[in-house]
Amino acid sequence: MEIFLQEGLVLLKAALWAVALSLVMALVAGFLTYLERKVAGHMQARLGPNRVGPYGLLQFVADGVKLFLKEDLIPSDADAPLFRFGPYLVFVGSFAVFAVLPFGERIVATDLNIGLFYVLAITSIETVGLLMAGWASNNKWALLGAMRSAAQSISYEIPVGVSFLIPIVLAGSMSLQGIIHAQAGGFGLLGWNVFHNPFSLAAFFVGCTAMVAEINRTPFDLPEAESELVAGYNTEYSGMRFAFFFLAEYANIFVISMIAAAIFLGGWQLPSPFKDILPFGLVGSFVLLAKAAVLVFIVLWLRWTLPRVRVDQLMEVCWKYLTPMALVCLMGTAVWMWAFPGRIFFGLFGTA
Amino acid sequence: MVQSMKRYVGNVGNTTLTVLKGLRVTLINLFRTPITIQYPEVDIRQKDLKAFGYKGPLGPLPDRFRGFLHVNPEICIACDLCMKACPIDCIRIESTKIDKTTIQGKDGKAVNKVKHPVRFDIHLGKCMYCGLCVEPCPTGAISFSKEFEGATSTLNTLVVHFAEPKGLPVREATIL
Amino acid sequence: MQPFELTDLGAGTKEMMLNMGPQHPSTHGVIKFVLRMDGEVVAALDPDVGFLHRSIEKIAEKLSYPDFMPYTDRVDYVAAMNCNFGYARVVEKLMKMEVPKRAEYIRVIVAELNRISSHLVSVGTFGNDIGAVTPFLYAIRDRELINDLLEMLCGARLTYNFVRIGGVAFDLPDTFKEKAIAFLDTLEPKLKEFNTLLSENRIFRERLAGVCVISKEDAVAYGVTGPNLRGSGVDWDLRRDEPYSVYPEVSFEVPVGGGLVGKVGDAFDRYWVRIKEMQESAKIVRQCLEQIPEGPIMAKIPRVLKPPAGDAFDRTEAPRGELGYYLVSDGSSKPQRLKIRTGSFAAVSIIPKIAPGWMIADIVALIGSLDIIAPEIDR
Repeated sequence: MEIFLQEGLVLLKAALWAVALSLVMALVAGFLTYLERKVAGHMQARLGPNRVGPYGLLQFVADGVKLFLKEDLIPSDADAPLFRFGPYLVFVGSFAVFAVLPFGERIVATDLNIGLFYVLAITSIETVGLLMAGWASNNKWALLGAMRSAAQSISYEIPVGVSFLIPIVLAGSMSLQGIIHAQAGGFGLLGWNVFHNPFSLAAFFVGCTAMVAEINRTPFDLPEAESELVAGYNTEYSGMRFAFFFLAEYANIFVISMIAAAIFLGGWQLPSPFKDILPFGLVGSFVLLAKAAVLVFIVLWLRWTLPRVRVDQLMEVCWKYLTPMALVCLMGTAVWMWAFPGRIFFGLFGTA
Repeated sequence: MVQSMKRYVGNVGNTTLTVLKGLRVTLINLFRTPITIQYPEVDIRQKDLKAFGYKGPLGPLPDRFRGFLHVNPEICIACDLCMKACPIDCIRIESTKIDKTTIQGKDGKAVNKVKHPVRFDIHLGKCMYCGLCVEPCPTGAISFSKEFEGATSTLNTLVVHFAEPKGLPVREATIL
Repeated sequence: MQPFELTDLGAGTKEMMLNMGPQHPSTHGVIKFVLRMDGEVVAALDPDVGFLHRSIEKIAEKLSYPDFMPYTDRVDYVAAMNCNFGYARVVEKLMKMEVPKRAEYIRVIVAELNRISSHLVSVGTFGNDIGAVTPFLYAIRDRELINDLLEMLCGARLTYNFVRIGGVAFDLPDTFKEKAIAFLDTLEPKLKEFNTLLSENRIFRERLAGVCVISKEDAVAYGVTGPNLRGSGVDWDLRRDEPYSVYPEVSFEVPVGGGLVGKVGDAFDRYWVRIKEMQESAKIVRQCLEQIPEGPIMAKIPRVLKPPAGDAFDRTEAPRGELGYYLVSDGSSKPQRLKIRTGSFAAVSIIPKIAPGWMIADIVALIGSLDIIAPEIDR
């Protein structure tokens, strides 16, 4: 009896977390679509959405309602089961990452001891979903987009994985909370992994670039390259299914920003006097969200500045530049740890 | 080896530099005044857009703006020059003889009026606003207005009757 | 439509036929390209034009000479002034008419302003094709100011119908000169900003360097004209080499592609020639505004134009290449035949020759760099 109660409590907790996280994801993704359009608008001498609600803030709600009410459309020659299943796979790949995102020192759904590994593994489901969607659409543009997406995601997982190894090596843990804990020290700033040594600093940029490519954002947005492939894998999608792609795409921006902020930029680390102003380490949560917000803005900013690379150049960037650089960074960090054990870059002439 | 290493580092450096330069441009523009005119809140028919809070560089509709055609049948002498000038035949004029009067012309000369339009229809749905009808008009009876909002749910409402035909069934009058 | 035999590539794979257009973001209007693809690489390409055919040449036979002027706006609606200009010139040539000097100056001013706006659209949409959306908006933003200028002059923003046979419709408004100069003063820094954002960007350059090279010989053989011809390194500009109107009285350079980042005649050269041409056009407008004499803006013309029987051909340098009008008159008030020769048509005809072997992303760059526009191809 007791064991059922325990199991039930665990399940209930998981369900509550799932509901809360899906709300967070929907809100974050919705707000990001608004932010993207607003940032794009002002960067392009326009205004962006400003009709629905104050400053157009409710635009994403209107868009969501519109997509929800649209006709459920499946092309007659499409492979219907796969066509239906694709978007959910993409959505799951993105949503599952939220389970390990450390929103604060004590606010995390589950702190897996293989957290980063889990992130890498679960996000690759998205590729399967995209490929499925592109193939099932029975549209040549969608197919081209899906093939590009598969090639891109698989290639870029390598630099992402290798640059993830650096914080793992530095912290000696794969858990996201463990990595953040290991970044304590120096005004809540100098302990950050980016400041540990020059190699980890470089790894931060390499990793971020690779992650931007991993989530198909400009300048690496080839799978949905509008001017080449019309809309890539989601050419035939509309209504709710399209909304799932859209949601996943914007949730992904938030996810990579959170992860980069957590593993390289010190997460919720704060100097101790500020830590306990609010309960549950909420100050730390805000600090982490602020760091993530800056990264999110940079991702949006990049999109509205850069042109798109070509397919062969995409592979070149991955295999000739990012992967070797990530490997050099990894080895450099290892050598650093061996040569200056326990010392960070700024504390080279003292103890960290 | 050294050469190719140099090129490798140069590529990375050059790419980063040009990307950063581009980012700078877009960041500067993020804080510039948008060029968008918030139509219809800002009435571009008015002379002063600043009164509506518009700060951008665009101006209001100029004096020569080619909006909907407007006809003043009182000074129209029914010479049919506009009808003949129209490349797409969207003007229809019918007239009756009246006693001779004189009207001040566009160029200051007096123009004799011996005919009066009983019917002056313009199909604004067909009109391409080229202005060829306005130019030959001796009295300035046909001119451009600054109106441009022509959205309607029925095509017939775009046929504007500047002179109502008397005794003609309305239905016939709408067909050009 | 199945114009290609699809080759078997072995291992159970086959080439793919792909319809690019008529609704595609990068075909710049309703044009269809049928592609035979091996993966992402194009094996053959067949342009299918005619979706925007409005029989403008036939309409000309049904209208009197002045009445046809608004239709020339629609030949190339991005550069309507230049099309007006060319048509007015050919009728004047047929009628052996003298145009007042002031009218000629106004024509050159508006034609060059329109060339700047057309090239802005061209380079902007080209950036958009390569994936950079923001430069496109910047180009459109700057073009808006030219539209404002021309609207002030003639009342319309796109289809101007401003040039008349024997002169121009309106004289310059009082504030035109100062506003035009103010615009030209802002154009230079804005172009610089545009170049920093797009032209100097490494990704952009890598995308275009050495891509879809059109050799000098090919360009000449296919009758490619205008910036595309100059991009291939041929130093030929009608405004300088067969001067018309008041072009002999102004000084300007003719930019020629020199393989700045790749080979001579690649996509970047064609793009760069347009950027340079905008600066030269700005120079011409400045000189014209300084030199413009006072005087009438219309020649004395009869109320009904009846050119003598005969034919005339005249070509002008429009933004998309040479714009030629061939006019046959039978002495009546309507043309017997009018043939319009446009630059885009020649440009689209060279695409099948250049395309094979390039990737689909390069095809987009090729189409964008040739600056073809559907209404001009189909008329």
